[in-house]
Amino acid sequence: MAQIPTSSITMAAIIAEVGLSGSKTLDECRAASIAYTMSSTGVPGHTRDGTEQTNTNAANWNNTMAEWAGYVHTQDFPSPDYYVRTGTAESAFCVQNSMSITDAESAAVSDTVFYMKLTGMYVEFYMDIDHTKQYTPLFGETSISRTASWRNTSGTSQSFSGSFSSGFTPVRIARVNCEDGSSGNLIGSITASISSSVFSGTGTHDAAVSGYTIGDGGSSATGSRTPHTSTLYGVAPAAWTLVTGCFSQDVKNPFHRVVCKVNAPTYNEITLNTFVADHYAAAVSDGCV
Amino acid sequence: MAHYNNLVTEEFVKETRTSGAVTSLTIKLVAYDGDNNMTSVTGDGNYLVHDDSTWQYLGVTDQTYYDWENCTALASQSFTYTVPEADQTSLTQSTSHPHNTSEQLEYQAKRKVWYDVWGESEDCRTAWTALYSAVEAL
Repeated sequence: MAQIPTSSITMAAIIAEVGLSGSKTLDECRAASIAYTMSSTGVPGHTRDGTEQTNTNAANWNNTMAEWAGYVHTQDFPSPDYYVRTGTAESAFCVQNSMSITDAESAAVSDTVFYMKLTGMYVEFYMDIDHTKQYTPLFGETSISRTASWRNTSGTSQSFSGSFSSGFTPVRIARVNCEDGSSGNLIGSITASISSSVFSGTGTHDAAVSGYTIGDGGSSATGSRTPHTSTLYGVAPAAWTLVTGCFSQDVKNPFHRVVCKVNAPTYNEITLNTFVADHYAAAVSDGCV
Repeated sequence: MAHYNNLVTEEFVKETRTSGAVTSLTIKLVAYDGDNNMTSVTGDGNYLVHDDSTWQYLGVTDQTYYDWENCTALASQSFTYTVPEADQTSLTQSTSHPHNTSEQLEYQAKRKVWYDVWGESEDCRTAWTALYSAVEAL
């Protein structure tokens, strides 16, 4: 899609802009158009009547070609708000989540859920330390250490509220304003997606986390989802060790890049800044069973 | 450009010894398509052997492991880590009872120190970047 010029407007340009093809009438184009606030008040060869600033696609004002001047069928979302550090390098991580366990036989896992949620007019993205994932053994270990922290937009370390025994309060990482500027309602047919991939170290993705709908396009991607107020779609990048025994040890320290996107039929898809997750899992065997 | 929804990677560490002491490590990073050409084995108390790994993992009974020898790799990258003299050891892995617990824990501690250093090294980051780039280019 491109913007319709303010002069030398053609039917072909209007038809293409509203996503139609073939021979169409102006009224058919009007019916296919979206609410759009014109930025200019004057159109060459045409005197506007002053109603353009509140026009919707139901109005009949754009039944003259001149009234289409400057029309853009697709629009941009506002710039997202960010609440944690973003970037693509290892050093840009926004969450650090680690587990170390020692026993005769042991395995360790650390994972963090990145999920989307609809809150009012906003599509929000959160991260939540998964405290439910079990490790081996559950009890009787020689020692176990679990830590988690996040980084604000200044890169300063922050503590999650909660604990590994009772769970944590998720941290909002970003949000996108999805209010239709013309109607004041939520933009129609919004979709969002989250995908994750390892870019350093050996990592994986947890395929199921209690309380969340994980994956869809594989465990590492939600696929295109409709953000919901209570059904939380997400992915769970993870570090996961082998089960170790007889003085063996296995350490995994993967870094994942998490990419969030928001889209709507008449909007240009927006890709948020990349989030990086740093996970660490160490399982150490201190004896032979 | 191929896309793998289930990319599996593993790090294999091979020791080089001089007069019995571990003086350098060859770390081989390998990528596999987790959905194809992978073979698994169920642990039965025996050790899991791989040509590129000095350490033999014990297959804990009833746990599932990849049988790396029989998995088809997509790509690999290797780099060498020179073990500082202070971190070298002549201890070796014991694979039969009775184990000398203190020696095995000391050897384990050495391996952990090695991992902590080479895992944070620029050579390691470079190798991971090259490995993922190689997979993306397939």
